[in-house]
Amino acid sequence: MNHIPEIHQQLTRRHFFGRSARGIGSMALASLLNKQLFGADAKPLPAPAGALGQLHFAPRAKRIIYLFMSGAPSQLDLYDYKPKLIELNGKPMPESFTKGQRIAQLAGQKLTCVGTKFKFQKYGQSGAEISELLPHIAKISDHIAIVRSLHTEAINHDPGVTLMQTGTQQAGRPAMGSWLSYGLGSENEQLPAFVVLTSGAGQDQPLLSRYWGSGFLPSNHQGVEFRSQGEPILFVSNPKGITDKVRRRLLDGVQQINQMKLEAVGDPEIATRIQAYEMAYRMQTSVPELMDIKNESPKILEQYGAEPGKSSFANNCLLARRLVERGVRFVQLYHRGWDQHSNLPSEIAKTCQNTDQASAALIHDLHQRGLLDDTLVIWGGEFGRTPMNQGDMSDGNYGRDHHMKAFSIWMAGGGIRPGMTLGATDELGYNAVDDVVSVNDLQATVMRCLGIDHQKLTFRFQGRDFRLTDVSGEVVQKLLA
Amino acid sequence: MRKSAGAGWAPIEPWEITSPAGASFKKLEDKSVLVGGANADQDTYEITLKTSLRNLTGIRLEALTDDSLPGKGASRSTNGNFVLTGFETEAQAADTTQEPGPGKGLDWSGWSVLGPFKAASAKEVFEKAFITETAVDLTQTYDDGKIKWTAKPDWKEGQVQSFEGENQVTYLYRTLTAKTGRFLKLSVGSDGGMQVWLNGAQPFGNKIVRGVSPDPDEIVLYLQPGENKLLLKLHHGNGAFGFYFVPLAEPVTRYPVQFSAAAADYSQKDFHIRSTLDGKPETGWAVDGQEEKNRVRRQALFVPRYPIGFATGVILKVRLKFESANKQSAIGRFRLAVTGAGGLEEFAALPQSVQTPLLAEGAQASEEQTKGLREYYRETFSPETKGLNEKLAGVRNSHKELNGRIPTIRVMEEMPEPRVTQIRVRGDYRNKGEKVTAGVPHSLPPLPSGTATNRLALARWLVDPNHPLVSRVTVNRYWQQAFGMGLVKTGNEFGTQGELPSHPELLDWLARDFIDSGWDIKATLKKLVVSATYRQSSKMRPELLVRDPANRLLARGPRFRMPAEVIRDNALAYSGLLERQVGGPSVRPYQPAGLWEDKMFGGNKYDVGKGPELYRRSVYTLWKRTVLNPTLMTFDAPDRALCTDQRSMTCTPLQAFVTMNDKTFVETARVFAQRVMREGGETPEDRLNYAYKVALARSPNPKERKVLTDIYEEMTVNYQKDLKAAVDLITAGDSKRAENLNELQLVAWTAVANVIFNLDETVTKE
Repeated sequence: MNHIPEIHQQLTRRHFFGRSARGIGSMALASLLNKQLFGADAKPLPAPAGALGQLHFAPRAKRIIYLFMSGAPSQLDLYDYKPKLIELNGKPMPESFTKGQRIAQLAGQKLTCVGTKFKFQKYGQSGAEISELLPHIAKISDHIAIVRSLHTEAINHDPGVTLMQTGTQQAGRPAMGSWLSYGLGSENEQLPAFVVLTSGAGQDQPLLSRYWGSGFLPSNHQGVEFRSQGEPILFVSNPKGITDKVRRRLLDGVQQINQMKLEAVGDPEIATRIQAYEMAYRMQTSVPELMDIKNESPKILEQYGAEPGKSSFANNCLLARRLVERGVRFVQLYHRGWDQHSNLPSEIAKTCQNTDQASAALIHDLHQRGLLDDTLVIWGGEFGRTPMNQGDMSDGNYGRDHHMKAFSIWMAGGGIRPGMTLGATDELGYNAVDDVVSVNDLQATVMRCLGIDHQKLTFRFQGRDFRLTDVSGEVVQKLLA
Repeated sequence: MRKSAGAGWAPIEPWEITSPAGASFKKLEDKSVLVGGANADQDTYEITLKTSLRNLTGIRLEALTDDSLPGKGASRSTNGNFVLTGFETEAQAADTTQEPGPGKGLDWSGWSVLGPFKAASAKEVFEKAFITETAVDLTQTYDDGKIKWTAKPDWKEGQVQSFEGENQVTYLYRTLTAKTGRFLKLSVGSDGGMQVWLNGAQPFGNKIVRGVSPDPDEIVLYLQPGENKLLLKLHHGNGAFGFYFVPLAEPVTRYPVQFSAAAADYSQKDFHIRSTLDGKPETGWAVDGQEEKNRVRRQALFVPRYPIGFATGVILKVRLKFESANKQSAIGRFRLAVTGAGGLEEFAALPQSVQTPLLAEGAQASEEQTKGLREYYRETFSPETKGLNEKLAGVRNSHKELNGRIPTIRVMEEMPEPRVTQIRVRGDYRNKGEKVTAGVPHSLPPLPSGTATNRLALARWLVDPNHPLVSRVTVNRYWQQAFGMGLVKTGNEFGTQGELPSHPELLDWLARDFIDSGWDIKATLKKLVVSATYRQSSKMRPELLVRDPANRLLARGPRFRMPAEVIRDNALAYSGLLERQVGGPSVRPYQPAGLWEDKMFGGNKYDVGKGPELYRRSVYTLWKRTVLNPTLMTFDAPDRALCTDQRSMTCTPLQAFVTMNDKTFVETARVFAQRVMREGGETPEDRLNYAYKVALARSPNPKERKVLTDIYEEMTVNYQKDLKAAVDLITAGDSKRAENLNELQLVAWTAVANVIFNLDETVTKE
């Protein structure tokens, strides 16, 4: 892309809530400005959309909900059924698979096959094979596309998450949500384009704020975390002693003096600030309203398993729907608790119980509201888990180490072919062998759903044009509807 | 102590010895026992001893060598070592008919009752000490005098007492005076749990002696001679609650002895004598008997928690357990002895190096052992050396502390022999290619010849006055700092991918001047800020905005939002709170609770700093790359994952939240208001002038004055109606509020300050 307009944008710095199309932009801006304050002759400056003036393809999705299963769920116990592995349970892993391979915590140890102890069954018209651990997701199998042949380059959590989110293992590049906020701008006037929600046990893996950092992109594209405890957004609440009425009055004062300044100096940046303060004021009401799920019908709450006031994945799924309804471009959920090196059977059952119902309810809910057509939902972790056992293997117990050669995710909605299973692993589930998908391929495909050619959304930094997919990535055509 | 450990022992000839595995026992003249017969893999010797001694404070086991045993050792094992895996003892009265019942020799006080205390949770019922449980004071009152001890002289033993309430705690207290040390058996019943303190200690550890059960429990307590203080803590469950207590008529005639400590003159590594008391068959006491020099007499002492004794003498059943996985590791010859001497528990707590010589008989202690003993004495007891030792420890400690206070700074050093460096082909660390050496790109001037190609050479090359490369990049950054954008806009890229400078001659001149000034940064910056270009008005004329929106041609002065640190530091400076101390370790200013804890592994806690630490310049704020300081991050402070030579300068609603609502800014607004009231004169007009002068370096124009005066007056009226809100607003933050200022005026000025802090002009450099 031509980076000159972007530099101009950086100068005017007005895309925190950038507009999706130029026409809508100026309309929205007009409605934002308090007419009483500015009078009829206030001239808002032209507002560019996201950095991509024009999409490369007809978009199938307008927004994304990414259910990130942090810690790496075991594909072998959830989506990738391997009877041969069950048959070899307790026997040595054939060396032909593991020789010379990068192995994480099992390095140097005896490698033993461990088959899943959970039952699999074929579901829906598509006949997707899904584990008994996911009874609810099984019921939406005709809505989703399971990819069983993903592989990654990273074998530990931090580089793994970083690669999934930013296209490279090295820290510091922009997150997928930041790229989309940058490229597409926001669809709404009261919320950030990129919102992050987290849940799950805090001891498992740290969540680093750079997973939703904007890297070298302007920092207004970084993910904004909505917290379920304390203030939903940092500093959103008025301090003690300032009521809503007082806030409005003080804000009016700020806006009046800023308006005088705008008239005197003519810096368009002042208009942006006036606008930002109006949005801030509206967010002070809209965000608590958004986070308050009490008004959802009991039926919806029950479907998700959500409980008002709680901090849970179920609540976050429901919030994700509320956010996309309000036009948030990218909702990034993180749920921690999947890093089951040992005691996998009992631990994975718990984590599934915490996530299965709400994940399925989200798809249902989006579908019923007609939002699934243009909302892309992604479910998956940063890598997979080994076909080899880790830790205690007595009494039906077992564990699995990190595995980069094969793992499963699923996608649904906006542009993805529903009811399909893509790819396959070898008979022991070690390597992805058919329709192999790399992390950059996945990212290219996601961008394609949004109408973006992943090679053309770039940003020049330190003399190089960077992109989400770094130097590789091919769109997985088979996944597209 | 030596006496109690090494002497005063009365060896006792066993009355009876049995072995379920079929070992045979031969009593020798010295009261020891030689074991023969079947040598089973595992065995337990049960030895019955009788003694008329009362108040036994220790049992000693000697493992003795015998010429008939393998290797002339003390074990039946062919390797000469033994493993004693357990030492258990049961005490029994010699004449059960003579033992005192509860009434005899015992004076009881009546009960006193305290409570109920309301607990917040079931956990608190158990864990919270509502009173000082280890030292009961009957005169103390609780909950503002509402709860106090009440005597219950009418309570009879065995009568059920009733209480009511949920998740509550009631304490019961009485004293028992015993003529001699003795055991007492009690039956207690309650609907809830119960904890017991006897003489300030919990005889059952911190365990609940009884859980929730309708059936009564029997508990056995050891009473010391004289007064004994008994405290019970009753845990109420739900609804009606009953308690029942009766001393049993049946005397205590038999009980398992609890040992509190054990010591030996030698313990093999990982086979300490204490492990004989842990109840586990897989651990035990061994003495390295596989080595010939260790095949000598060994002693082990076992210290009961309470002295063992009955009025009529005691029968002890001692069980020596040999259940180790090392088969046939039983002791081959042993002797048991008892003592009534005191101090054994203290002895068992001494270091092994002191126990061993103390246990050795007279001249048997070796030179080295005696030396250890002497050192211990000097360290611990000797009045001459004790003080010196303490002083030495003190000096060592302060030395350590001083070292700890000196921050570690890593300094790079050239290796004596430079490492061979090879290209990693295609970045693969396993695929080594051509050998390479240090150097500079060919397109640039060469390194000076005749010096080693090390970091010093590179440093000298960088600042070589014969080329402008480094100077040019550096002055461009200072230009960027002053004007918002460098003369070369791509400040991080002067190469083919970068942009050409807007004013090449100017850049070259500045670069040369910087070198000639002796790399004087301050002089260079001054040159920039006193230039006519910099001092132009930053007013943007519409036609210029169209022709040169980025002001590359510098037709006006710079105007851009200040960096995060400056915005915060300015607010602190306006208020006078800014702490100007230079240097020192990072500080932790305000930050919403839970930010670190939510994201990180356990143990990563953010403890907000105190006092001046809260008001240091933002460059001293602790920088945690994984969880950034939210105040600074919101204003585009980078996460430092990548080198950032040019920060974003965004304008977002989240920034408005910070300057409107962040504690730092609310507090500084109030302290700024205090300053305005104290230093700004008496009239609102003067004060507003002063506030503007401090924050914006100018006076307000009439329109601005009207806006802010209106707000000031409205806020005075508004907070008059809501004094609580006023107090809330003017007490934000840790700094003390100025007490002598009119509250209503202060809150109204705080509100005005909040407006000023949020003005575009306040956060913008122009």
